[in-house]
Amino acid sequence: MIQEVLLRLCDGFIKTIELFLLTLAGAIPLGLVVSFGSMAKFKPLKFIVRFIVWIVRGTPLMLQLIVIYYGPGLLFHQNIWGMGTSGRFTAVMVAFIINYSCYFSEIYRGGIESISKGQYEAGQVLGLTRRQVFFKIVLLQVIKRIVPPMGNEIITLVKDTSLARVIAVYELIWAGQTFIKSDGIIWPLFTTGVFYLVFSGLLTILLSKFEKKLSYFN
Amino acid sequence: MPILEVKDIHKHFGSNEVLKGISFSLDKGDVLGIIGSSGGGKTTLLRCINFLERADKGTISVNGKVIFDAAQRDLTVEQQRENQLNFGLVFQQFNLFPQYTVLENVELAPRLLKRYPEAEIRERAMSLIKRVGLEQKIDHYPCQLSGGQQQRVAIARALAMNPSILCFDEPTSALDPELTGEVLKVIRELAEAKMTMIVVTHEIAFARDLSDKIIFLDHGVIAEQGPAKQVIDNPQNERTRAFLSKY
Repeated sequence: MIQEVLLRLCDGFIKTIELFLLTLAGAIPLGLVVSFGSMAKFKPLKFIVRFIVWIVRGTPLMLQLIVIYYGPGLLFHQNIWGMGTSGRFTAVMVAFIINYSCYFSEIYRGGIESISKGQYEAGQVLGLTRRQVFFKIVLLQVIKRIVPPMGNEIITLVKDTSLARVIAVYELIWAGQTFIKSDGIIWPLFTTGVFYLVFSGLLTILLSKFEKKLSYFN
Repeated sequence: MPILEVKDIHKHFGSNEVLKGISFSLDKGDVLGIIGSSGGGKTTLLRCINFLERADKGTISVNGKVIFDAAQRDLTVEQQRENQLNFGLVFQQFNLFPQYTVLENVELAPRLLKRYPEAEIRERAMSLIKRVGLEQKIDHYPCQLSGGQQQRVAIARALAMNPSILCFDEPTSALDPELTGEVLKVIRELAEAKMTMIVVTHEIAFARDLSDKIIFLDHGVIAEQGPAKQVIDNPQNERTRAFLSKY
């Protein structure tokens, strides 16, 4: 029995990790684009981007999942996400990436705006291009400053993946829950907590290693 | 022909007119000291010359060639960057790049802009670092250096792009008093080597000894200019006298 439970939980856990990694892979770069938008000199763009960020950060991720999955069908009478499991998974990915891009963008914006004007000016008087100033001088300093808040968000994401369950994406929590109905036991569901704990524990170690790596300058 | 000719520079921020028509010229190998009370426009003038602010009016010429004309806006970004490289600037707050070592700070711009062959970049950087007396510290990061050492690295970094005119914006104002000496010594050595320099400073005695020419800037106008010793030892303008009496 224990073996069977663990196997099924591992199945769900793999999906959880998949959700986690794909969300990061999408939201880390997309967040940078969003943060540039929210700092744009062109006012209408800045306004629109900040409005979207407000909506996304101001409503529950669970609601966003539901709206993104069912919304297009209800509005256009067309299922844009495709049939079955893969369609639901795509919808979850889209919702997660949009949601986390917005959170990341605000962290990036804070990091970028915290770099002193003197750094940009020093690059400029040395004749560097704006692109060189950003990528060769500013970026690493920004990364160093955003590691702690990004770490927070990343750990939150580990647990937010469980929301995928709302639109029937089979992940860790659901894997644990099935045993309540089929076998009348609840301990598999409790056990999922251990998976989350171990996973976020490993991430914490990884993040603090990374933080240490960047501690050679300030 | 003077190496630098600045004509009728005006600059305002909002309703605050900071520079009200500044004109001066500077000969090759000379040192110009700019003194005056805070808010007089010294730093703004230096920032206009270094393209960190865009003057509203006026022209700047180097070696007879106009490199900035406020009336013309058709310069490409590349041309502007090229023109700007006539000048180097040392900041009050050093502004070293914290993630790079001393050597990397000095080599960064020449390398990114492919200014010299790779071997020469290293050689030049090493000799500049030696020149400011920090050859023992090439692998140190800025946070491991004292303020005076950081400012000396900043001088080497500015020289690495081989500017025709090196500018200093209050280079010792952010330093503890016991650290100013080492920075002033480096600047003095540069002057002896006939580097053309503009130095904005509050160190009046230093300005007097170092400069060939002094400008006293007051409320956005040049109240007095002339040979250093004459302006400082025997000021003609009443405002200059009032300012210098505080030192």
